[in-house]
Amino acid sequence: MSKPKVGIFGLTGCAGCQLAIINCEDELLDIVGAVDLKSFVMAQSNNEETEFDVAFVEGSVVTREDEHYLKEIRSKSGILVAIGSCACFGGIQAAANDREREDLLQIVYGTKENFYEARKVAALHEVVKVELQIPGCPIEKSEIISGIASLLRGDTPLIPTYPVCLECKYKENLCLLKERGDMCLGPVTRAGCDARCPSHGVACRGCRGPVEEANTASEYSILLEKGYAEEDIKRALRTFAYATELKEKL
Amino acid sequence: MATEVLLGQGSVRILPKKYAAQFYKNLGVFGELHGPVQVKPGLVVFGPAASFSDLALDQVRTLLPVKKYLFPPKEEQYRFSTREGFVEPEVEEKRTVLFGVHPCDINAVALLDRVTSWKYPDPKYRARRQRLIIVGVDCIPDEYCFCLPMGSHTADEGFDLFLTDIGEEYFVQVGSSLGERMLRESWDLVKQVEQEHIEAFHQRAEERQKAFRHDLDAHRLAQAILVGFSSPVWDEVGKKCLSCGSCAATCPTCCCYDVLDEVNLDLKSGVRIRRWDDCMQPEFALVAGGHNFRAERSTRFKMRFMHKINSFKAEFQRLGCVGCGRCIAGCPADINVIEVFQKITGKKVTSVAG
Ligand code: SF4
Ligand code: SF4
Ligand code: SF4
Ligand code: SF4
Repeated sequence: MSKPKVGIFGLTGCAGCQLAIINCEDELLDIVGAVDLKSFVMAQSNNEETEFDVAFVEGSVVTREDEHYLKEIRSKSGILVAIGSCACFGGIQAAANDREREDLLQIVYGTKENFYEARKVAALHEVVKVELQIPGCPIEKSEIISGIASLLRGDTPLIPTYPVCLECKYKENLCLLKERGDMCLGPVTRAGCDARCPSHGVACRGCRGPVEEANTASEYSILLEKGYAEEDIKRALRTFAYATELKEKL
Repeated sequence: MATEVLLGQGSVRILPKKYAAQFYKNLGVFGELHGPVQVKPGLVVFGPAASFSDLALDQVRTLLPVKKYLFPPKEEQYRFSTREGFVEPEVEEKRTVLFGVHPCDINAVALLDRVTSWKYPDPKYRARRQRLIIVGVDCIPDEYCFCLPMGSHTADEGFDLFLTDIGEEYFVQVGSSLGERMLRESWDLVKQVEQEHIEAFHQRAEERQKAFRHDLDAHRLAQAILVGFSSPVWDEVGKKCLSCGSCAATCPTCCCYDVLDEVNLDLKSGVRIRRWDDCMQPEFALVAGGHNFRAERSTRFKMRFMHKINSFKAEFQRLGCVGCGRCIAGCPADINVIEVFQKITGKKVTSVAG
């Protein structure tokens, strides 16, 4: 069996997910050995414009250029994997998705002129067909490696379908929401980070995006009851996933 | 007059509290000493406790129950590779003395013991169970405790030693031959039981029973759940429930698991793991073809208690809920099972918010 041709690409984002792949230091050689890495602009020279069996795409669609680039990648790829919360849900750049671009341009650049051709921020699956999503801000090293292994094997990767709370309980952390009244988004956020933030006494900000069947309505009323202002709760819930799942709910 | 007792299983002795620290130290001969430890205000966990003063014996409940010693949240079943076949992880030989286990938790372990030696024996659990020594200590219930109505407020089996606080002394009961050896190790610290101690023992039991605050009828529960199968109570809870699984994770009797293979990049090796799973998760009853038998949160919540109450009772002649209150203490949505039980049996709700 010949090695699958792989490309790793970035749209608008912080490039942290691509960096997370490069940071797989011990396993990087295994990855490169297992696949035929045709394109990874951030990490290598001599990249090929070719067809790909698998394309990993980071970042979200923020400009027209992103949109064209994504469609081009899609047309050349067998499987398209969205990596990171920007690609899966829009990411932080979608947090202001309810505002007009013109107004935002005015605030940020002092002009309404849309020289970047900015558009409403979209997650990849809102623009093209996406076969798989690996969320995270950035993605977890373990999930990218097991994700690649699963794809090589023809399986779907094991991404947790339960929320952060469960990992938080496994680690026997004090519940920040319940015991301290913190604005913890763990109950509606997908696990897989080993409850990293609550384990350090910091409330979950929802960086891995919404979990399957997130009960946002209940989280919302729990936080209201704890005395948080409506606007603050909405802002927190919109931080990472306002392009997609939460759009209809908030 | 001294009450003469033959030493052996079921025998009793008195341990003056001033010797408790030494008694505890002597238990170290039998295994690594563990017990409830206060990590920070509001957080108690079972963990290593080298000396008696490290123990938080006045605290009612730990976050995770005893099951974490018997059946960890995630464990390696075996490693596999095309070269070496299946390699099981090495069995740890270390023994642990877990001190300060309350009656509800002892009853929960007794139930897990049955589950794991039933139709499908679980050798990994059994091996760990054999190396776990349990020293029970009694407790005074708080607002989330309801072991009394669930019939788990006393422990008749499942411990090696059990200590009841009778003021200046502990009333020590022996529950196994190992427990007897443990008592022998501290023979110079304990004394014979006198009539006054027996009186103090029963007085403590009375006091303890009076401290339970909730009116529940466990005998009616199984029936009430069936009769109230379409009760609005389930929907009410289902709306609030976050499907976070905290209740099942912290429950001393929940023992469902999932088995997964993590394959390495070489596609020739990997590890088979088992991890806790629970019926509050959307995927729990999802089957091939995409059908989900319990797609609604309300039906999952109901399922949890049908299993705890109806099924456990039918299969093991014991209720699967021992009334430890952990699922109340840990639920981020403040769902309170005492309230659910009271509502489903048509009783007045006496529970406080989770
Ligand atoms: S601290 Fe946050 S993540 Fe942890 S159990 Fe509480 S709500 Fe869930
Ligand atoms: S269902 Fe709740 S109260 Fe009952 S044993 Fe489990 S955690 Fe304790
Ligand atoms: S209540 Fe649910 S998680 Fe607990 S043992 Fe039963 S089926 Fe498993
Ligand atoms: S802990 Fe509470 S919110 Fe979480 S699954 Fe259990 S009942 Fe639902």
